[in-house]
Amino acid sequence: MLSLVYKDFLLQRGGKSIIYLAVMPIISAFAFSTNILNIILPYIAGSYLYIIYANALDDKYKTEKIFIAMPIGRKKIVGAKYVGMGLYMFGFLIIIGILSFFIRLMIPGFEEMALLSWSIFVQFLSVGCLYYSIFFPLYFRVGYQKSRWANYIAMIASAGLFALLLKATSEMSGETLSSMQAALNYLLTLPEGVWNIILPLLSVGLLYLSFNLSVFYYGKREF
Amino acid sequence: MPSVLELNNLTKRYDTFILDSVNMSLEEGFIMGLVGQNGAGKTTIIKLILGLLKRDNGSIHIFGKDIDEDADEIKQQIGFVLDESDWYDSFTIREMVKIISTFYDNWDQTIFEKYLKSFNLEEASRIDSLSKGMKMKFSLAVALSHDAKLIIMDEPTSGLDPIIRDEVLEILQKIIADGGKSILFSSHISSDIDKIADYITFIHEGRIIFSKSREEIADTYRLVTGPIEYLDQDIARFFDAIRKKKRNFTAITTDSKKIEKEFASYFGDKSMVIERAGIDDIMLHLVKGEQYA
Repeated sequence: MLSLVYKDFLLQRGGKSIIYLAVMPIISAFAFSTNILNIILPYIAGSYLYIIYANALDDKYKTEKIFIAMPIGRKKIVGAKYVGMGLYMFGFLIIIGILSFFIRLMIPGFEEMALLSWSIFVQFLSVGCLYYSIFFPLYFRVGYQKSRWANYIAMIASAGLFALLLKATSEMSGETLSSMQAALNYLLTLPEGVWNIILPLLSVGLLYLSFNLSVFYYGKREF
Repeated sequence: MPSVLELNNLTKRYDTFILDSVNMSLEEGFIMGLVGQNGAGKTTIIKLILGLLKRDNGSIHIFGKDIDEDADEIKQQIGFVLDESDWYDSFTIREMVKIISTFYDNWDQTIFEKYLKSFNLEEASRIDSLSKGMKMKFSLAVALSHDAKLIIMDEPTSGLDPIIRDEVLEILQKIIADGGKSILFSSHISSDIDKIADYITFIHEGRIIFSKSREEIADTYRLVTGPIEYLDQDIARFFDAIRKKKRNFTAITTDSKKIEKEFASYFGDKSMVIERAGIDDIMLHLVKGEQYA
């Protein structure tokens, strides 16, 4: 299965997405100090590019047929797409985490810059899980050509969820939308860190359901 | 001799096409050619065997095992070449194989490299720098490098120039000569099938017309040519299919002895000729001719 993840990663070299995927976390790390949106939105856009490019090339060369005819199993092919996006999310966060640490340490004026926290991780996870949970079952059911619109919808929905989350939490904290850190702080003050526990659980649960739905649909697909 | 591949009543229904109760068997050590027009159902059979399509009825047994019971274990021993699929252009052969090799328990890199060398392919070559013939050879090298006992190929010679086509056919013959392997390959080029297949299965509009050894076909089918004025209902009923031309007719029969006996006088003056029918003759008459049988 990891070979298929590696394959999707290698495919990114073929287009401009690799430049975006490499550069955006670095730019995001610098922008991180001002607004968490500066890292969430590039992450969503990066996910969109990563998915669209790998799947478009699978479709162009009809390689799904080759992999299905091999002794892999459709469940592993589905799993590889989910794992790939999970690794992309962790990779994105790790790059930002390391860079923001050094930026804060070494560049004057960035001393007060925020560091990655559990809250930020939870928001990444929620947005990512929502995105993949909407998109992948549709992709595995109807294929790339017919699911391109679903990728837009998934992207908009996940970005929308994030905006709603921020709006709700900032209003609860009595702060304005621009004060994202205040919103995050408010989340942390909720009893027993409710948001930070329930949200990841819900997200992972949603992803699990989505994975099983994808396996079900892909199992029925004909090529 | 054990059957490597056995299809029983294999059926697949589409809105406009039905693959109808296909029965077919391939024994170890032989080449089976699947021949028929484009759209006859050859690719559908291959896709059903490889699990790309879901069958509506029937069963598929490979190496004596039901494909539904352990598809992955069976696929470990199948090498395949698909007509419609390609490799990623931006990958090198080395990169592509690095990924593929992980799926096969018995992948043998030494054998793979040996095939690359004999096919004059370089591991560092990018896929997009390969010609169609070279890509076919690369696909063959992949299919042959994990000790597959059954090689399945969909139109392997389609779109290749005559020289490369001949090379590919020679490779297939060599694979069989080395022993322990069987090949199922489809083609709409009947001369390719005629050249190397031990068994020929002719499929037309989703139905198997015949599945016989090459010798059996040579012994069974005869091409009859005669003046058009001889062709009446009495004589027509002895033919499986007839093609009429302006001055004469040609027909395919599986009962040439009876025809010779019943219409001896017609052959006496050599107005009618009976000769062995080639695959092309059989296909052409059964597909394009008037059916009487």
